[in-house]
Amino acid sequence: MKNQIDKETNFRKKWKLNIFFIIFSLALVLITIKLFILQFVEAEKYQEIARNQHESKILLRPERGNIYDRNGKILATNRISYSFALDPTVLKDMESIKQIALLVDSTQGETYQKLINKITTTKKSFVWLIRGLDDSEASKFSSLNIPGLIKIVEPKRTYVYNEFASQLLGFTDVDSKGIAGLELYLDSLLKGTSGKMTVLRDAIGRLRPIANLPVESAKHGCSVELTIDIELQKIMDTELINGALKTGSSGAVAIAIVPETGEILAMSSYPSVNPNMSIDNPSDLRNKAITDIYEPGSTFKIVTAAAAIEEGLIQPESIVNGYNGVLVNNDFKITDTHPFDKTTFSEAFRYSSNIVFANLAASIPDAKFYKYIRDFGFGHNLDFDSYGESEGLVKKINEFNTISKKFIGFGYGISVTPLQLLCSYSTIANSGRMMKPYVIKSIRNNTGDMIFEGKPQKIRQVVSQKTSDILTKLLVGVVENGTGKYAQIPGLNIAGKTGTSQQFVEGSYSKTDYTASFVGFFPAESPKIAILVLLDKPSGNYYGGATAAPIFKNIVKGWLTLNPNILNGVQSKIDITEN
Amino acid sequence: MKIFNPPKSKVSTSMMETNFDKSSSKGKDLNKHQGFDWVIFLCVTGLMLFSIAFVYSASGTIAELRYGSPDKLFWNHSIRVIIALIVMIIFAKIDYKIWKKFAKPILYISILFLILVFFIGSPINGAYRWIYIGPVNFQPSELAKFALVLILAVYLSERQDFIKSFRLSFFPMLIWIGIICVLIALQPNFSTALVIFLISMTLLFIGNVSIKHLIITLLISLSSAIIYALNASYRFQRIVAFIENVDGAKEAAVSPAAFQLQQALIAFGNGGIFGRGPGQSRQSLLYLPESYGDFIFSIIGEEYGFFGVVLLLLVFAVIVYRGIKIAQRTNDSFAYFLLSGIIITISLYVFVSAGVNIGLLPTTGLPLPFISYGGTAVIFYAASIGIVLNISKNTE
Repeated sequence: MKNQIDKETNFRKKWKLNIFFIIFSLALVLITIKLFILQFVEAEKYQEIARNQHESKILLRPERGNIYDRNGKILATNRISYSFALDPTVLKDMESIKQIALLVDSTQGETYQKLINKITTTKKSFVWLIRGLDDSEASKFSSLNIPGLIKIVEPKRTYVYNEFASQLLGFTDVDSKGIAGLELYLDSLLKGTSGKMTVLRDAIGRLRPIANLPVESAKHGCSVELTIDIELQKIMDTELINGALKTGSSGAVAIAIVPETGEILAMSSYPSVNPNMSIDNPSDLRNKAITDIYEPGSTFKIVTAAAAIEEGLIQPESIVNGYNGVLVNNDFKITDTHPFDKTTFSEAFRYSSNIVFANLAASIPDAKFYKYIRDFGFGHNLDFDSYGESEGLVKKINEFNTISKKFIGFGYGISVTPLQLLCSYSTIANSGRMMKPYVIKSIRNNTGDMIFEGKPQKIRQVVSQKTSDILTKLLVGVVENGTGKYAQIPGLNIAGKTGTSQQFVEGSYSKTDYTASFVGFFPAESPKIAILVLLDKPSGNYYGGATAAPIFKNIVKGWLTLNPNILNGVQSKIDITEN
Repeated sequence: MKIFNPPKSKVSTSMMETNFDKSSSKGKDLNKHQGFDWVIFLCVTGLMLFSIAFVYSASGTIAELRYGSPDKLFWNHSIRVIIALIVMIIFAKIDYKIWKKFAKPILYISILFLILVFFIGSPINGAYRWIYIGPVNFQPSELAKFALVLILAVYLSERQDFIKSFRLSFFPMLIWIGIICVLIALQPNFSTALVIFLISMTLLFIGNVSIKHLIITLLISLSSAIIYALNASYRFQRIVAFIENVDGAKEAAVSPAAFQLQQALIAFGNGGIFGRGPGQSRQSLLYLPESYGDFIFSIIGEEYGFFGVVLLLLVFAVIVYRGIKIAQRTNDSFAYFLLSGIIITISLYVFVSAGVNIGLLPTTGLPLPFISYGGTAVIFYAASIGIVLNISKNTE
């Protein structure tokens, strides 16, 4: 019986299956060890690789901050725009390429040819077709059913008032990066901080947002409020363009400032540019009010007069010698357009005698004269809220001598920016107290907190109030019955000065190229605003009194229509003084 | 000589009765070792049900890309799992002895399919591995694998008395092994052929054939296999990729196989100890090719971590252990060899599939039993477990 059982189960060698199980178990142990290495020892390495291939960071674009004028009107903002690109690796059909190119350039001009060449020759899978289209323009492209056409929605900077204040505001490139003016100066604040969103990416590059991955949201740019009054700016720009065209000037600048605070109310340069369009002539982007320098001529006489009066060298009633209009020496010849022999200083000022001012300047000690020039802000920049401000050219004190002082005395041999010159008048208007000119009223961050506030800053007391009052009276005389009479507005006391200077061209003073200017402030009793108008190379009549003063007058008239209450106040004040 | 087993149910009841009379403790003992193996049943059912979740998260992205619906493969697989569970229960009810009668017909049918696959099969990546009959896609090698195990079990049990004879025992079995393996290798599906060959050799070893014969056969076939392997460039590439990757994964962009392995390793590493959590696999976002099939082990590693995969391996170990225990109890040699064959098949597939996934073995495509998405594999494995359960029921 036992044999039978043995025989029956002889096939069953238990050890064999046991060995098999042991080997299998060992194999599993081996796998477990390898798993432990992969999932514990080396896990970090693989997790790093995994993150790199699974996760993708998407840039979240911040919105560029708006720019407002002093009354909260939007000057620069963003709108949704549509851009189109083409993937030439997808689109090979020549007819479709031509169709697209025709939409971009309907004239079939150079752009058309260039685009077709680019599409047909490039190896890239992305070619920009056109950027920054609005809704209606974009629909032309969107309606095309062409494979490989890529539509991209992106913000585009928009300037609400087009060419107005364009050089001051500056503009941005297609990527909304500031490249000129305040857009450049404040770019780091305006642009905001881009955010990042981590998304999951599959092996064929499709992205999917995942809730538990970190999102660092974009911080929108700061918004900026300017001291500019866009309505005045519009008037100033318009009048400047009209005036420049009328006088045939090749360029022009106008600035308005509040003497009491230094706030810039308007700043214009001609020729103007529209930052919403493509810009043909990049040099027109310059904010000439701060970048360009010129020899001021007669308008600079205010500095000479201020120094002399403050130093007690002269009074308005002092009798001065006009040498009948010609002062000749071995080294120089100075002439006047209104010749006279002997008259009062105020009369000489009214008719802007070069000879009187040359001699007056010569009588001021070098160091004193130099000090006043520097104190009025010439020869160094005013730290204005923009890049590219020029310092102007002022001779060093050791280059001061009788002759050089004579010429500086009536505004030659010195170069200034329009803003510098206006600031010197603004200083007189503000009782001799010079205020720092500024254009940024406030900056608010994306949550609306004010992070910067532009406050009036006194630079220095340049001359006494008494001197300022005397100078103001002299300047009123210029407008009342002197060279500045074209700036007159009945019922309003305007203090102003004309300037006509020959431009220094190729080593000598030109007989054809002039700079004509008028600078003034009003109401003279209590100045609210100072304005400078400057024309570059007016053709025909080149006198500042005839060319720039009327533009000044038109701007003032415009400003008064905007601020009639101030006019009323002034008139009543005038009435009171007259009674 | 044929071993005849009397109907077990009758014997066991009578024994139970007698045991009850003698001592209760012995009766308990017998009870414990007897009857339907619920552990295997629950383990396998659990694996198959979990495989639905595994396949779902591994296949979602690719199904969406290919079929436009992320649950397309999930539904396919779910239906097959349900069918497989039914098949398992049916097979558990069928007396395993009838398979002895069907062994030859099943073998012939499977060989017929293996030949047919060259004519009516659809090539996938240049290999004839699948036959589509209506909605069912059918992989003849899956059937052939079990047909071979079955016929070997029959031969081994019938020829135990002269098992050491080359002419009477070894050679006839070798012929069937050779036919099946060569046909599969020609598809070409070299790795499956090799694994089936190894299963057969292991089973012959369990079946007490002459060790001398076994060793000579192994030497001859493995050396010719190596020559064959180096013949096909993709296989060579994979082996090169494997060797390159053995010491620390190098830059993986070289070959698709190396890429696949690198992605599998990233999946494991990314899972870490505790895993990313169910459904959180990222490697299944089209990074890991075959993520729901032959490389599903990697995705499990990513989602359930080291503990998850080790638990999975333990479940397999339990199934194999229980299977071996049943085999060691049976007095029926056919049951013994059939059971051994099935257990060996499952063990080898688990080892090779997992080994490939973790870079322990050269990259090849072998499904993980009960888990991988695959047309017929799930059903054939379920059927084989049904047989195991039936044997367990009929074992003292």
